[in-house]
Amino acid sequence: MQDSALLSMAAMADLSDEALAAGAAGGDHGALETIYQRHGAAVLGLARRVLRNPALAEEVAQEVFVRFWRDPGRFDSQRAPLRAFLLRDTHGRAVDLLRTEIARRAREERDQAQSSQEVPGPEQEVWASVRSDRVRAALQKLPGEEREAVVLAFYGGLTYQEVARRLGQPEGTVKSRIRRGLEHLRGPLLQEGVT
Amino acid sequence: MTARGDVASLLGAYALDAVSFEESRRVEAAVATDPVLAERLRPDLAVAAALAEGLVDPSEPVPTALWRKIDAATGPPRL
Repeated sequence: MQDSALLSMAAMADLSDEALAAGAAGGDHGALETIYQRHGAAVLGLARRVLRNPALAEEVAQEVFVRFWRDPGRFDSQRAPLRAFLLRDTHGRAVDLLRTEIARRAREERDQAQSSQEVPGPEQEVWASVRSDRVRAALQKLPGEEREAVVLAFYGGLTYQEVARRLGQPEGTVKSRIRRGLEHLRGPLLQEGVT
Repeated sequence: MTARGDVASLLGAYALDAVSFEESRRVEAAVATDPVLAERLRPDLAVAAALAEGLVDPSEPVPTALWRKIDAATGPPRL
């Protein structure tokens, strides 16, 4: 049995994320619970805001922690902090589900001979969803075409091909706008301690 | 465009989860064996993490009901 398994939950709360992840990888269920206590609200909150569906969001959040427990080798502390890893996993899974839901709705609409023009409008909705003033300010400073591409892709859950179709732009142009947008966001988001 | 150039052009979209499943696998395979590509991807992933963090409300309470489900699904300790 690992030493960390003998720690009380109170003592575990003082451990770093890295130590907790190592404990969970070694089978320490208390470490997993402490990780959940630390990051569970963020994981569920992110899933809720991407999916706008509480039941699906809960499924995603559960899946993220269960998958972390069953396959701890996917997390590499050299590549990203634990919280960033969990949030990335959450966003990726939520976007997968969102695309499935959008595809399902589009099929239903076609079946009902209704317009399939109704797609989420993240440009407007995103400002209500973004809780961080710093992230909001950083996005607002981007050139409009870069902000539009980044917001549609990340907050709207669209692929760059879908963004291109939506904007009537070549796919290569959208990829470039996303790349430049991310480069422009590095300064305000990575040097001011957001992550 | 070279295979590496093709993957490099996808890095930003990949960081935002805005690529297809097949493109995602292609990027991951390339990054796993190409440290230059991996290093180029790192800041994009950090920005994506910050964008995700921007959606999180720090005042939200930890949901205890969800932990009960996770607890049940993860079963007894693997010790």
